[in-house]
Amino acid sequence: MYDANTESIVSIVGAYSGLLARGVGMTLVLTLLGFTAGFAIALLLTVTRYMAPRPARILAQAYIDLFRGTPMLVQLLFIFFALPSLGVQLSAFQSAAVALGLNSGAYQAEILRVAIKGLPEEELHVAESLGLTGWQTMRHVVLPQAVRASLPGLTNEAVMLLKDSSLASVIGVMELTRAGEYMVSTSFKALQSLGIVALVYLVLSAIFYKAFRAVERRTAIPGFQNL
Amino acid sequence: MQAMGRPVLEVRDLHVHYKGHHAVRGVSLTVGDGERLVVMGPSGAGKSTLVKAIPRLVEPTSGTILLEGECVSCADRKTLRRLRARMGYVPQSYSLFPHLRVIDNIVLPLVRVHKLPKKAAVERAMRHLEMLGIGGLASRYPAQLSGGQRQRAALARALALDPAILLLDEPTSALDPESRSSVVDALYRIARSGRSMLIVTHEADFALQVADRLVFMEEGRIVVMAPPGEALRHERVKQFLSSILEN
Ligand SMILES: Nc1ncnc2c1ncn2[C@@H]1O[C@H](COP(=O)(O)OP(=O)(O)O)[C@@H](O)[C@H]1O
Ligand SMILES: [Mg+2]
Repeated sequence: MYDANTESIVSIVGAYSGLLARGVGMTLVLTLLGFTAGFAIALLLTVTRYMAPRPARILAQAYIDLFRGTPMLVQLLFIFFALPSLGVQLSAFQSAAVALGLNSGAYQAEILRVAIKGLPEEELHVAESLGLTGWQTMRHVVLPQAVRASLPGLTNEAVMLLKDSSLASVIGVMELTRAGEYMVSTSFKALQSLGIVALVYLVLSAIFYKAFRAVERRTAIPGFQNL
Repeated sequence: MQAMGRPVLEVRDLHVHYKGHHAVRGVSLTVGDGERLVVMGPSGAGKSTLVKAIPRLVEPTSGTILLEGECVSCADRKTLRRLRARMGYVPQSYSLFPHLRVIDNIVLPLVRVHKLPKKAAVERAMRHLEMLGIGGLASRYPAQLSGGQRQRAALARALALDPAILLLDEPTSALDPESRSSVVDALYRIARSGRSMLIVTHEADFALQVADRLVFMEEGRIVVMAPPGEALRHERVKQFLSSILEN
């Protein structure tokens, strides 16, 4: 029984290797695009939150609450199905990338906020006392430390995003999960097909963890014990 | 050395509230050119609040602050930044940015605030580090230094900005005895150079030898302000000094 399964797993991988490769590629592209865009958005939100005039700060907070308070699936469906009626027409891939980026931006901003809160107040006083502007303090004192301190949280966020990118299958993007569904419906081997898909996600997550850990080590401040 | 001519720092009837708590209650003082004012007092007296309120790191509720005759308390943001850069503030701890090498901690404000070219900033930073005996540690990160080395680096940064006055808040209190003596040595050296200072410290020897005037604070108010010899005649000051000498 076990052997038969192993055999059919091998044969399914062989038969669907092209599809699987495309699926993995699309999943990675969506995740990396979403994460990178999300990081840029999070920086923007953070700078806005701490430095912009009050109305802009309120808007930034509203953005964060909106994207953290509604399901990503609803956000994705909204962008793909509802935005066209407002004159914004995006392809399935574009919709997925935008949804992932906007959503991740809100979560990454929250991760940065917690890291910034952890900075000792004295350090900010020192920055002010030196005559640095708010922007200079942000750029040279706050963000370099906050981003470092955020790396464990950002690692989790990247892995969450990897898994959430599977939602794109719902609107027909041929990423890893959609590839799995296709394999199930054409090979009729659900156990093996979905087993393969799960395993690939697991491997990708492991790679993400390792990659982020390497970034953490490389950017660690010598001698600094980050609690 | 007594105050002569226009004071470097003038504080008039300063009040600071933290949400409901009245931490500084009508403090007035002046620091003359080259004068050294030592502030003492029990924990919670409002010493740190006073020091932080002068560059408005903590916003005073009322009162007037003048630096070399210029109004700090009524300065707009841009003027305030310029005036802050004329005051060398060093806190008890967290005085250096941990993600920057010692040298970059000093170069950052020199380049960004004083608009010095990088090369000149590095030279100036090195000069001050060497002056305080830590030139060899320039490329270390703060976490790779002892507490005393860190505080000396912070003093070097403050001095490199050539401030009109140093505002030091218990620069030795967080240190082990060995580190303390290295920082106290640095403080003596700085004091001898004729820099105006307002320093909160419980280093009794230093205070008695270096202070032109000793300020004793309690419950947000100055209760004694006099040359050390005279201040020592006050019962409360005597009592306080003997209590810290016991520890
Ligand atoms: N950030 C703050 N928020 C509220 N109360 C504070 C804050 N900082 C200090 N205080 C209070 O103000 C008083 C004076 O504190 P501080 O200036 O630190 O005294 P000192 O430096 O003389 O020990 C104390 O009662 C302290 O609890
Ligand atoms: Mg204090």
